[in-house]
Amino acid sequence: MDKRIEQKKNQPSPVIGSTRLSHRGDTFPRLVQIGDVAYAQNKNNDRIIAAHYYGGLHEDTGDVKIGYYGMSAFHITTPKGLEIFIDPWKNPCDPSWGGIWFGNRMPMTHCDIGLVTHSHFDNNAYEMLDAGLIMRGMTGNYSFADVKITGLADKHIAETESEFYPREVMEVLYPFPKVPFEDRDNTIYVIETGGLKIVHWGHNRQNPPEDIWEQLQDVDIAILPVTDDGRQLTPEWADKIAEKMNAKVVIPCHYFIEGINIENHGWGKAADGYTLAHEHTVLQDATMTVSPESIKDHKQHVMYFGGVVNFEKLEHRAEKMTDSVAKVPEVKPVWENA
Amino acid sequence: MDMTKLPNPPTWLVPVIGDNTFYHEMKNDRLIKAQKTGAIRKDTGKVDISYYGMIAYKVTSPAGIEILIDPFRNAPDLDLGGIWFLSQFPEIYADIVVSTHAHGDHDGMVRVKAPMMLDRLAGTIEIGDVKITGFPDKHVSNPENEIYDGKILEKAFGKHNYPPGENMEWDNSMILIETGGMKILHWGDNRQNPPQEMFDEIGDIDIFISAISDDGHITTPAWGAKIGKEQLHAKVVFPGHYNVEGINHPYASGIIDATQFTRTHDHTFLKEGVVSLSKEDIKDMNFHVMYFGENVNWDVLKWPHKYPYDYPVTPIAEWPGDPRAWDVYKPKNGERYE
Repeated sequence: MDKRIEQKKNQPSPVIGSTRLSHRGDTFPRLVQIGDVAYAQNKNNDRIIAAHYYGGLHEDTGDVKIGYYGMSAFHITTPKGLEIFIDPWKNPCDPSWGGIWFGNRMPMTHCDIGLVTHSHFDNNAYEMLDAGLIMRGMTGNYSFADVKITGLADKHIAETESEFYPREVMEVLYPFPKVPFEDRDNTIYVIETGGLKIVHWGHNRQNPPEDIWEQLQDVDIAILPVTDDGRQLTPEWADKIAEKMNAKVVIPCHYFIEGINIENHGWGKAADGYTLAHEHTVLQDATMTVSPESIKDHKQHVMYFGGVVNFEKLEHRAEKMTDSVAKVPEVKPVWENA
Repeated sequence: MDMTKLPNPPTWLVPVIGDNTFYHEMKNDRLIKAQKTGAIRKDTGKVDISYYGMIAYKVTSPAGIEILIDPFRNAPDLDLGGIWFLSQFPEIYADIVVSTHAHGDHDGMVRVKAPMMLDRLAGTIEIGDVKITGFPDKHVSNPENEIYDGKILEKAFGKHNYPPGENMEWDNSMILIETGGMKILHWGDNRQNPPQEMFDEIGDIDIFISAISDDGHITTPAWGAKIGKEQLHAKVVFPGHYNVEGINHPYASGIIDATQFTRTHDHTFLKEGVVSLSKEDIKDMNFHVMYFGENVNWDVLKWPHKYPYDYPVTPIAEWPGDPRAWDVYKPKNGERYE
C-alpha cells in the first residue's frame, strides 16, 4: 500500500498549478514559483559577445576597480572592462526564514558576470542583476576575456566560535529546510585579473581541507565576512585565514550598515574594531582602484569601506516618514448650521 | 484542518523569485568529489546522453559528471506565449544545470536540483573530465519555415527580435561540451547564421544536439542539415525542441515531432530515454540522426491522462489508520443507546 501511495506521489502533476496528491510534506512551493527572470532584462548580450571575440571591452587600463554594495556584494571591474558582481542580497521570500534583514532593496545593478557563492538570501539575489551571464556555485576553472575564476566548492560556516553567535543562534537565523547545518554549501571564488589574485570567501567555514588551501596561496586581496561580533568570521579567525593566505589586503564585509541592515534583526556590529586593530585604510569612496603596484608593500592591510556603498541608501527614512505625516485639517462645525 | 500539522516554514505558500536552491534538499558533495579527484565514478569510457523533453538533454561524462542543459517550465508571465507545457519538469538531480537563453522552454532551472548553475554561459569552465564552453550569439528571429517568417514574428511580438537593440530574451549561448574525447554541441535556439568565425572556433563536432522539428519552429530540417553537414560536420544528430505527447501543449507554439526529418537521413529510432556513446561507436557515422521521439527519461502522464481508469483500488482493510475510530463510543449493550 505504501508503495502505491509512493508511486502516486512520484508522478509529476499532470496539470499546471495543480498540487500533487500530498503536497503537505513537499518542500517545494506549488502555487507560485517564478525562478529566473532574465527574460525581463532590457539589455542584451552584446558586451558578452564583444568580450568573447575581442577579449575585453576596452584597452587595458592596468587597474582593477572594486566597488562595494553592502553585505558581501562586490562589483569588480577588470582592466579590460569586464564587470563581475558577486553575492547580491535581498530579503527572504518568506520572513519566517530569519526575518526581514534589510530596510531597502539592492538596486538593479549592471554587470557582465553575476556570481553567487551560496544560496542564502543575503547572497543569491541574482534577479537584481542586469547580467550577461550568471553562475551559481561555479566549481572548476573558468576563463573568459581577461579574467580567470576558480570556484572552490566547500561548506558554509557552522561553528562561528563567537560569543554572540553560537550554533544555536545561527540555526535560528538560518532556518532553511532539511539539509543538516554542517552540510550547507558554499563556494569560494578566486578571481585572477590584472595581475591580482582576489579571493571572495563567501561564508565558507574556517577550516576547508588542504587541497583548497593550496589554491589560496599568495593572495593579493581577501574579501572576508569579518565583524567585531563574529557574525560569520570572528576577528581572530579572519586573522588566521588572512595569514594562511598570505593576503596583502583584507576587505571586511557582511557587517551592519545603517540604511541597509535593520538593527537588531540578527545584526549587531560593523568591523570598526577589527579595522582599527590592524594597519588600515578607511576608504572614502565606494569604489577603489587597485593594481599590483599599489599594494605590493602591504601585509594584511585592512581596507574598510565602512558604510560607504555604491548606491543611495535610505538613511533617514524613518525621520522623513514622521515629517511627512499629513496635517489633519480642523473639522468645520457644519452641524451648527443644521 | 489541523494547523499544527502544516509545515513550518510554509514552503507551499511561498512565492519564489530568482534562486530557489535552498528549497532543494541538495548538497555539493559530488562536486567536491569531482574537484578533489577529477571523477565521481570509475571511468566508463562512454558518454551517456538522455532526453527529458523539449530540448532538455542530460550529458553524463565518463567520470560521472551530470550536465543538464535547458530544462523547461511555463514562463511565469502568461504574456510570454502562454501555457506551453502540460507537465512540470521533473525534479531531478544534476551536478551542473545550464541554460542557453532566457525563454521559458529553456530556463526552468527552478525545477532542477543542482549545486552549480551556468546561465547563458560564455567562456570556458573545466571541471573533472569535462570542458564546457559557451559561445554567445543571438536567438533565431527568422526561422524561414512554412508557417511564419521574421516579419510575422515581429508583428506577433510587437517588437523586433533581431539585433541591434533586441533584449536578453533574444540572445542565445551555444554550449559545447568536450568529454570522453568527443565534442558535443547544444545549439539552444541559436540563429541559423552565426558569424563564420564562431563556426571556426567551434570546429568539427561529434554530436549535434539540435533544435530541429518537422515544422521548423526554430531550425527547419533544411537549415538543420545545412548547419550540421556543411558547418559542423556532425557525426550524430539529436533532434530537440519538438512535440512530445504529455509534455507539450498540443496547440502551443504549433510544434510537431521530428519523424520526417529523421527518416530522410541515416537514422536510429531510440527505444529508451538514454543512449551511451563512445568515440569508437560513432567514428564511421556521418549526420546520423538519433531520435528519442517520445522516449523521455522520466514518467510522463499522457494527456488526457489515464486517471481515473488506472487509479489504484486498495481494499479498505489495507488502508492505514482505523476507519471506525468512533467505535470507542459504541454502546456496551446493544446497537444503540436507548
